Amino acid sequence: MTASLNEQIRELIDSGANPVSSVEITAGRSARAARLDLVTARPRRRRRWAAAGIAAVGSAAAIFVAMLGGGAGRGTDRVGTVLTAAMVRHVAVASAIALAHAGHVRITYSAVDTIGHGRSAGTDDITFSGKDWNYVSDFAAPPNGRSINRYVGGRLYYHGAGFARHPGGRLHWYRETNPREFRHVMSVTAPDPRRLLRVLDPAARFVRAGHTVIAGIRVEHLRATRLAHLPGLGALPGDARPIGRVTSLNVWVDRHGVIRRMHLTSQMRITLWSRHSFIVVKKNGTMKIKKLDRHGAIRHGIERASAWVSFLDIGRPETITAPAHAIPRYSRG
Amino acid sequence: MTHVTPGRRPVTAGRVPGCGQAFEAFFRENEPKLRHALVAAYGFEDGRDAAAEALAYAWEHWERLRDITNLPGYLFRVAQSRRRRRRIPVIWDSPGWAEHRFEPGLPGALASLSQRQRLAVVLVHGYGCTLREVAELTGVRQTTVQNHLERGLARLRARLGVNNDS
Repeated sequence: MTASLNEQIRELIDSGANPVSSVEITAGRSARAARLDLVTARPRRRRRWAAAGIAAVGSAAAIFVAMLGGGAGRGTDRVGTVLTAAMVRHVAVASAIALAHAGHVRITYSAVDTIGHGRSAGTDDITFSGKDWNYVSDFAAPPNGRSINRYVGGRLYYHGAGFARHPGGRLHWYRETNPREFRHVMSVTAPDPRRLLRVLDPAARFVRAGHTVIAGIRVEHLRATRLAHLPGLGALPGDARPIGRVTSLNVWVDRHGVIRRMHLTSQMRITLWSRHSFIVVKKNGTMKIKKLDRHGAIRHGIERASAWVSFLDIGRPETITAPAHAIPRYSRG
Repeated sequence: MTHVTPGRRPVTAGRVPGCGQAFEAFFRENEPKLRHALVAAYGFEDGRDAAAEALAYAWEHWERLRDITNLPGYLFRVAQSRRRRRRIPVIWDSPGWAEHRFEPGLPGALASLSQRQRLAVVLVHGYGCTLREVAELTGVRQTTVQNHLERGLARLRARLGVNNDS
């Protein structure tokens, strides 16, 4: 760390603004202008513009090859270096600020095992704004449809196959009227992805792992190297939570330090008993596997789980509205 | 060799003999100053974009602009006008966090300054520009730059709790 304020100012400005390259100049527009053009142009015109842009950039590079060299990349990537505690805290704070009022998080999870017993996969989509939230669960494997829990203005609504009055019946929105059930559901399912940010702890010892682009945004990839006792992972919805031992944790943060994506893997040893065996729980609490059929196999394997967490629409306000029609329902357990 | 850049008139390289070299020299000399000033004024991304646009404008209109006495100052105004036309709110944000090797509170402290104060502080204290150079670039009087500088620096010191910056 430099001591002089003058040097620090210079270093700050230099670190945030790479030199303008000759190619950008001769292409006649900046990257931002290019993006705006591409968005607003009609498709047919866009192709022509893009072709012209490529031609201009390519030719300009040839013409001005002697001019200022590159400058487009930072050139200071230090892959493998450990982030200081201050940097990790900066990421945590910047992310917390970005998600302070509203956010949209999509969690895609899957789990497979090595003994072919089964597979689970699904997607959770969580939107929150202040205290209100909307939580959509899509179960892909085993297929179990979609369920929605929504909390708006102190009221809890739900919708989905599991809430139908009769199996296969028409789906309605319901509003919970049992205060006890309401408290129970809120304590169990109320999602708050912001709690996930607690995983951004210096104790995880994050190292730089390079750069990539996510949704058009350049992000830095950070990999945790100390995976024991990672805090905050309990904030993941049930099916996306890590199983057994966490084997990897990767996060991607943008240039402001705001987290954009997180990937978590975990695994555990599993044992599959044949259907001819079962567990007996003795009175003293010990368990015993009892085989009814001595040919019944007990197989051991490993179950591996993976969860991708994408932080979407950063900085965009979210609006969560109550369903237009909801049937009051007094749930019993 | 003629290339058509989108939304602009054709850009003809080498139409004016020596244009490339003259522009290159101008670019080498003034790009950093212009970029630093615009980044100080508008933030990292927008400031850099504004510098790129202004320099692109200079390249396209080099024939007409090459004889202007204070061309960097002119391009600074070009960048300001173009930004104004786009109506993008000014957000002076922090840079790529991974490059932090300085006081973490500095970006926030600089952001708390007014645009002119920040510009003066960054150019004079960060890059050693003279008051006259800043005045020429931004099109204001030297004494005005000095006022902005002193006030900006006082505010920056107060915000950072810095007593001795030398």
